[in-house]
Amino acid sequence: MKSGIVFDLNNKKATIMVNGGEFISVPRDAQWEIGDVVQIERKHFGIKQLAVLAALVGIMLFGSASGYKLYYSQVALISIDVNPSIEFSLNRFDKVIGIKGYNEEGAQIVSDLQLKNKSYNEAIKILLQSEEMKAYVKKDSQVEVAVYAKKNTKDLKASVDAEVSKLLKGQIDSEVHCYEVGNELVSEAHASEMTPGKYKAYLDLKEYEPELQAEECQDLSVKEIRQRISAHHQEESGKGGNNNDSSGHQNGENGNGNGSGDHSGKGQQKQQKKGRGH
Amino acid sequence: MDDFSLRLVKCKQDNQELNKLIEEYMPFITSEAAKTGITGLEMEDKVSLAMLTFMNCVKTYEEGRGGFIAYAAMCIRNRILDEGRKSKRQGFIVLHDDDEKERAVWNVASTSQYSKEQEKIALREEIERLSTELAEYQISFTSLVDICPKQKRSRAVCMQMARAILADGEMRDKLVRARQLSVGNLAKSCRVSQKTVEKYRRYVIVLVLILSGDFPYIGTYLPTEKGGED
Repeated sequence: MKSGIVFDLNNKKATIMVNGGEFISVPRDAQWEIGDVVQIERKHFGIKQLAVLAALVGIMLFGSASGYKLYYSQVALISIDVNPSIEFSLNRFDKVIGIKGYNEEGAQIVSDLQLKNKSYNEAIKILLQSEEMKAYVKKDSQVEVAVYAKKNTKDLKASVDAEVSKLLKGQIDSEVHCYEVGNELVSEAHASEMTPGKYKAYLDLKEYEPELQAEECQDLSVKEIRQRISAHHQEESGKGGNNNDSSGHQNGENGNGNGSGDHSGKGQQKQQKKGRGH
Repeated sequence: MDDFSLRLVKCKQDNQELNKLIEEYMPFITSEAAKTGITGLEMEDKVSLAMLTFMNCVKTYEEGRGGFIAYAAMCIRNRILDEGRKSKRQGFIVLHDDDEKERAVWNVASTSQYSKEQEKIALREEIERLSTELAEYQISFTSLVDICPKQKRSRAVCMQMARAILADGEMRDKLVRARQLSVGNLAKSCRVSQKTVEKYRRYVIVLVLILSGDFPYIGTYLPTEKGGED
């Protein structure tokens, strides 16, 4: 529960300034007046969530505490960046146990979809086929997917790559870029409040713009980052004209995603080596 | 615990933070001092008493017992009235750091209801004034729902931008006179992209108006400059 000030009222809705500076629109209470300080419940549990909660309580009461902990231990992570930046945490059963939007668009989409406890393939399907996400996927979009796993990263990466590519076939002109990333990159990305996929793109751009800071890339789409990389690449190689692949990737590594041929990103290779073969 | 209460807790332990808070709320402290029509005290003395009382209120404030601003307003008024009466009797005032009176205000049961009423009246008045100011920038309260960032981190960045504008005379003047933000300068100053500035431009303007105007009650609901999880 958070407190909020009633700023505006009409027949059905109230505009509230919630503590922390957020403005929201909620169904009005008949007794509210402008200037009232009211208590706002941020989320209402729906029936599905209650069912999950009941199941979890059952596990906790009748199962073991270690079983609960086992279910909720993160062992893998998938991030998808189009313009919305979204990250899934997976457990050892390949189920989504956490989901986070790393920018406004991502946060909005995540709040509208029920993806927890679904298999990662199902969650990716629901996400990419949702109306909310479709609004962002255009023909010239760049889609970057980063995959981290404590074990068998290669297999997970291959599966995710195949699923995302299949779902986006015909919707985007360029290939989906899918990478394996290591634990160190994941930590650095999170410290910079970015998904591993976008953080990797930032590191690639930083090779050309050493003064670049992570905060400056937080609100850029991966397409915008890759376009800047491409522009630098063209400048360096002295080539003019259009380049359809605006990703700026080197060494033909597009889509294979293991990053082995990726010479960009400080410490990237070190992180890639750490991320593989667990 | 909300952001403002967390800030008050910090002020109890950190004098620098307390001084910052007092500086920000000087318009409120001065206006509350001026409101007491008591004679026998110079304005300067009233303001000094009001500042001292405000500091004591920070020390004695407990979350969950009502709004801090309403509490501070009541304590300032009571203190000045008390000292005004004393000074008439003895011919001088003594400025002493005594938080017993502030604690006594907390303990009066009727205080809670009175402070809620006072808070509501003050909020209504602030909301009306803010609405008038926002209209000059063609921003309505209902439109704020769409333009306000959903993420705490983004609102924290907007606070940084608002403070940067207020700290820079040129940017501030441009906003007040031409109703325009210096997007390039602001992006550079806060180390964000111009795209970010454009995206949150209107919300930043709202924050600037609240921070620079006399909105002490609404001001306690502003974002902090440190983001983090909601």
